[in-house]
Amino acid sequence: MPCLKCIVRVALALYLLLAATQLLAHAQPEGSLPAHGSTVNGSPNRIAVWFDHPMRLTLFEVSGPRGAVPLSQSPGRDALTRFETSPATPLAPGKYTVRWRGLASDGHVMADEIYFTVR
Amino acid sequence: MSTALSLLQPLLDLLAQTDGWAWLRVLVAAAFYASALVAVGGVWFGLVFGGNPALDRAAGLRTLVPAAAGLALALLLLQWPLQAGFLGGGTWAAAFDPGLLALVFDGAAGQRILLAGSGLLLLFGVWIESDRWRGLGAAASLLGAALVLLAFTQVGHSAGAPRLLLASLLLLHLGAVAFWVGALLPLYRISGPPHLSQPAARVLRRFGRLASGAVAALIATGLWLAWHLMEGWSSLLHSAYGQVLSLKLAALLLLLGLAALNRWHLVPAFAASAPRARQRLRASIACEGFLVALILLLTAFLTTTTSPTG
Repeated sequence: MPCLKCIVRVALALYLLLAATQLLAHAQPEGSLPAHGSTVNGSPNRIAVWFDHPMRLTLFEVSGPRGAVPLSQSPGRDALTRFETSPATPLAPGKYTVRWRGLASDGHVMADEIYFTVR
Repeated sequence: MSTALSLLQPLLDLLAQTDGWAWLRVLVAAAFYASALVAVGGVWFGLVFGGNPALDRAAGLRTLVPAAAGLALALLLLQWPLQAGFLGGGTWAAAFDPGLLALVFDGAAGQRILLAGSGLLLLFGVWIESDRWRGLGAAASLLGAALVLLAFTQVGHSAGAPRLLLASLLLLHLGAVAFWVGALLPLYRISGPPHLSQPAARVLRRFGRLASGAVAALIATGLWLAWHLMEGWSSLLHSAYGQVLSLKLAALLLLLGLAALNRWHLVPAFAASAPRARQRLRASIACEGFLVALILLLTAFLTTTTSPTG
């Protein structure tokens, strides 16, 4: 068995490393516009998603009955708590899916899908 | 039947959303966990039970630890482009996009790669040079093992608040897991040769005693982490995370049952050279290995595809 001193020293070094590590946030989606599962009358002017902690969005797509929806804005790689965009052309009636992926500050890869219907 | 299906709806929805790329990440993560824990646990096994040259040769740690560490290193590096690819929509073009690779590396994931990579290189290098159980080689092996375990606390749900407590509990949890997982293959090997029955039986009995403490720590820390991350037990059966965790707990219960059978029945029979005791013990250890693999797969699914609060 290695000496007790070796184990204590390694344990102490670990403890100091742990204590020195900055606090990292695990971001969670807090809401979206349109809300998940909602039905909206007419094409929405805005499509948005927001989080409780900063998130670096790497993918934000909207797809519907006619395939991919062109958007006015794409997310950059900066950490943000809210991303908002709008459809380049009005959305036809039907079911739509918002798909996003991103990196939270705790290194966790996050992804979600939001569904809404245009009437 | 329809009631059962509706209860399982969160898990079914999660499975429907999990595409091929996510499954690839899950499999690579599970393989990384297994190989890293075998490498670290192999170090624990050598340091605690090593010293008998015949048993050491039979356990095969001199090849097992570097092989596991090398495999873990390769899988660790593979996770990097896989994460980048997932962030970019699940394509190989995104997997090697310099911007996405830099984004993944420039954060907690990069810290994990550096820490785990350093630890695994240390295990790989030190073990090739020397399989001494004391002195500088042992201390370096311990440091390498510690760095690998520390790397697990850099990313994920335990990186939130309260940081120090969560990371400490995860370290303790993983240390206990590594002790158990890393011992399975060496124990399987040393229980094979008939001429090593008695020294092997002594190691098996001693492992059983030490493993009791490790298992207690593993369960206590695991339950506390789960309770804290899920903010209570109410979502255990109602969220996808909770339902997968329930499957993991069920597999763990089976594993504990096997471990108890080994300690209280099969190892004593093996020590007494009872008929077919060797084959039954080795079969039981092999079953433990299968359950461990299943638990690691479920853990990888939890950490890769969902989060404690859904």
